[in-house]
Amino acid sequence: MSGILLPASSRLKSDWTDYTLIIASNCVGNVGQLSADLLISTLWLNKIAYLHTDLLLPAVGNDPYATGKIEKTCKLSTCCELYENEALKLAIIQLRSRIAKGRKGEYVRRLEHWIRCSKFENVIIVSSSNLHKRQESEIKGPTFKYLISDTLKESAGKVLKDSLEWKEHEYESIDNVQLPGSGIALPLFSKCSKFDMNIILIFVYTERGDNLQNAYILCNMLNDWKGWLDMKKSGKTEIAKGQWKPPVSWRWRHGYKKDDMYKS
Amino acid sequence: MATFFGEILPVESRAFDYDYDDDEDSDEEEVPASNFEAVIRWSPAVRQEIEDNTQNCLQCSILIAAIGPAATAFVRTYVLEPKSPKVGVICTGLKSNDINSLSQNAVTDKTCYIYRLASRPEVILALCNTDVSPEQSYSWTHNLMDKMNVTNVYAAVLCTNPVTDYKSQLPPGDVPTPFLRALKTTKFRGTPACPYLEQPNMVTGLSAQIMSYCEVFKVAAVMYVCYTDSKKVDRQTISMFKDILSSTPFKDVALDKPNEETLKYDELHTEYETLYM
Repeated sequence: MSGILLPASSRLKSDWTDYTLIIASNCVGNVGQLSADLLISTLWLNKIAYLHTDLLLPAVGNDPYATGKIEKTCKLSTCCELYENEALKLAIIQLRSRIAKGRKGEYVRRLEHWIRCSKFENVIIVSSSNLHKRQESEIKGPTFKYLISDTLKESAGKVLKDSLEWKEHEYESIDNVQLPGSGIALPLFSKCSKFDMNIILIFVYTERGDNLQNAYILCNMLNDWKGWLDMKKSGKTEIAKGQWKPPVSWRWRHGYKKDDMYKS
Repeated sequence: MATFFGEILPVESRAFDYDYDDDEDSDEEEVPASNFEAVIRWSPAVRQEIEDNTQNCLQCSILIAAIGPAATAFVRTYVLEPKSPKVGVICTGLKSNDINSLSQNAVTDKTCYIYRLASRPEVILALCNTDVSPEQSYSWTHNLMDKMNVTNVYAAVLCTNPVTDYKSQLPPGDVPTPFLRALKTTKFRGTPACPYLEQPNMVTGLSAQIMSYCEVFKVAAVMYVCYTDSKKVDRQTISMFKDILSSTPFKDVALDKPNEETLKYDELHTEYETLYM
């Protein structure tokens, strides 16, 4: 990303032809980031680069996707990282911190420039928007919706609409669309779609709080489209929740353990 | 999201360290990066040394960054030789209510000085006892680290966090404090002197930025975080760091005779900051 994407492994490439890129937007309830976590953890994506920039506020922690003896190892994770699964031709940008105040525009510009130069086949932005702020015309509609660029609509629009029965967010002009609480999702989508990229923005109307269920649903939707997990093997039309592997970093999400409250 | 019984459950995950604020949606004005610049000043001798160096940087084998009053008090007491020269300062601004002495020499002053040990000039200590905003931390870190030859450096970052930030399977009141947790970069081969920081805990701010820099630019670095329930600097918190004196890189630089005078200063400071003074 012009000077801010630094390699974590030798596999960082400049040409991403055939790859799908998923971008987790900072958003209400963190649905985008939770979905990215679930995909990285379940589909065994490897970290290949760091986004090291003054546009993002710093954060470090232990490996969020650690397995096995997690207490004995340390693999530092930073505020924003790029992950890849070469076999699935899938890349994910996971954001764990917030964008510095007053720098959102520059972050979007740099991200768009890097995406454009990297030649991804598809770009998927995962996000969410405030349920209580949706328009009156939207209130009766489904909570999961998508915005799609004209170029991607030509190739995948029919599948999404007819086979998968996803609901498109209707609008007259992209400049009039409002998705409060969706972070960089809308400005990035708007900028990228103007450059004829194959880009889609999937979002859910939700509120703050426990949004794990929405993350599972979003991942199921993406998997229905992309088929990363072998559904035929399981013989089911929809992947059961248990087949997704929640990362270790989802521990204690409701605070400390309260299960033994009524033990004698 | 409310559950069936109506209670609101908070969700916490390593996917993020905050929940989205409505105010972030407002069309905020763009702020130039220059608003968050930290300024570094080297002493004339060191500036000359950097200029004379073929790589335009300072030779360094051990870099210790102490962030916050407890960590700086620990380094002053157990590592900093009394006659070690100040070789630089990093300025990030002061708030109007920050109390500093005129000479900026008191240990309780909000300062950020860079020292080098008198006996081993290649050991650099950055003692940051002032507030550095998360936005300034990138500039702070690059100002310091870009002038170091970090190829063979052992770096250590010390900081404190409130125990209320610590997530575990125990209720917050049941966690005995203070206690230490560690993180290390891929290049750091040693074993830290305390358990690793467990998921989903994260560290933010300046200390996180230094560790990010070290990970990204492949510097061997270890971070020790002391979780404490004390708002002020106390001897118990400072003493907690003593456990790391036998580990890399502190075992090479620890003073034989600790400089206990600095601890008295900190206690004095604490004594006068009581509610009903």
